Amino acid sequence: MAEDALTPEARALGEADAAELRGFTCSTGLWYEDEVQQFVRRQLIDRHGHRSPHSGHRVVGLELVGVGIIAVGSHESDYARHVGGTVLITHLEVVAVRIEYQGVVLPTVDPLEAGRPVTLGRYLMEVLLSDIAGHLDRQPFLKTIVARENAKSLALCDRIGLTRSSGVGDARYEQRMGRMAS
Amino acid sequence: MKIETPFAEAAQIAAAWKPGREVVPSAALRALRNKGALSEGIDQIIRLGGGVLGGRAHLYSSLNRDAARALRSGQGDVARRLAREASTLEGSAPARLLAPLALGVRVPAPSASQALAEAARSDRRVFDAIKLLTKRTSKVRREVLGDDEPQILFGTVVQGGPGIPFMIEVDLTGERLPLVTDRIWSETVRPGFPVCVRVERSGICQLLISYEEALELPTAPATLANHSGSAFDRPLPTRDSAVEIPASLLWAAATVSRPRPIAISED
Repeated sequence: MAEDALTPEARALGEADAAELRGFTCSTGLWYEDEVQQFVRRQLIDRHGHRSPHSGHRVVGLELVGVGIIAVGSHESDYARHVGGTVLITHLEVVAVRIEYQGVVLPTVDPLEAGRPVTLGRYLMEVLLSDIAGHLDRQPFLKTIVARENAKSLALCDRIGLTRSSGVGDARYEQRMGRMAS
Repeated sequence: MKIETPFAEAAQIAAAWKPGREVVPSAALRALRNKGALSEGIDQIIRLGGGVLGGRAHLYSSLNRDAARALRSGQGDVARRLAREASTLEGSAPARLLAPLALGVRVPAPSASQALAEAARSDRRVFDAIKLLTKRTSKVRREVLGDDEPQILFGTVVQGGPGIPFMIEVDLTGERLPLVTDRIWSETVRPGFPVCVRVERSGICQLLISYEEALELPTAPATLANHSGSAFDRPLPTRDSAVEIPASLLWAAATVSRPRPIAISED
């Protein structure tokens, strides 16, 4: 696979993409990767159908011409409270890259972090953040839930600024939160 | 949600009595006990793998640190009262449930805070016992110490590592404080580490600031009973299920850079 062939296009996905996502493979066999893969294959598009009217649920894919969807992510609004009351923020639901494209560098994309090439996963994250930034009804806070054993995803959270860590009701996961610059 | 750990180890009590000085914990505890300023404590036989006897572990109510401080400042009566109250708390049902968990026998052993926090994530009884014991501890401290009660702040380590000084961001105010660590702490502490900061008056215009690991309880106890699903098992967002934005994040500078605009085609 030649690197200069990689120019993925971002597209909002919907019901018409359900069949393609049923074959999406992103797990190397680790339990938390299996969980993501099963979610993308079996639930993501159904969930989008019934949640989008309520939570602004969005599914965004990266596509390569002649290949199809090589990465997919989703987000929706969620409620959060602070001393001033309850506000809408963003829950980053899933970020998944097809197994053969994991770690692939996009040489055509300008660097997002000094000294680091842009990988497909990092680019997908930037696409999702760009989409999230367009939701003016939400406050600029982001949260996500990551398996504690998933060092790669936790490192990505650290790099993009989802640095505030807290426990959730299940010891296998932690919640990461951050605030986006306005 | 960060709270104080309701227990203290021998070294922490010794450090509260003689801050900034090298003391042998066992000798310090002997001296405190002789002055009536130490509770009975909780001890437990440690068994390693295969039933091998691993020794005896001791734990004390965290009120013993307040007793040690009171003795240090010449308030012997207050110290003895706190030690008596500490013994009562150590014999309470919540303490009896929690002590074996805090005295975990895993190798490498987690701190008492980590062991309790971990257990609280999967066991509602543990969650409730921690809250109850912490509440009782705070109540006794407030009743006995009155105006001399130390100010307790909570925060999170936001930077630091090998060769880089540790900084804490204080919850509620977002202020940053340097965290002074010893060798053992510097191997444990990392960004995200929950910290309890205790500020006490030490004389005219003098403050003594001490740090300890905070106990980070899950914020949603209602979900504790059900933890067998996946990270995606989320009900539709409602105001009732709102998560809490830490005040420190609310007032602090942005952590996520403004993204580059990227076109997304809509079908």
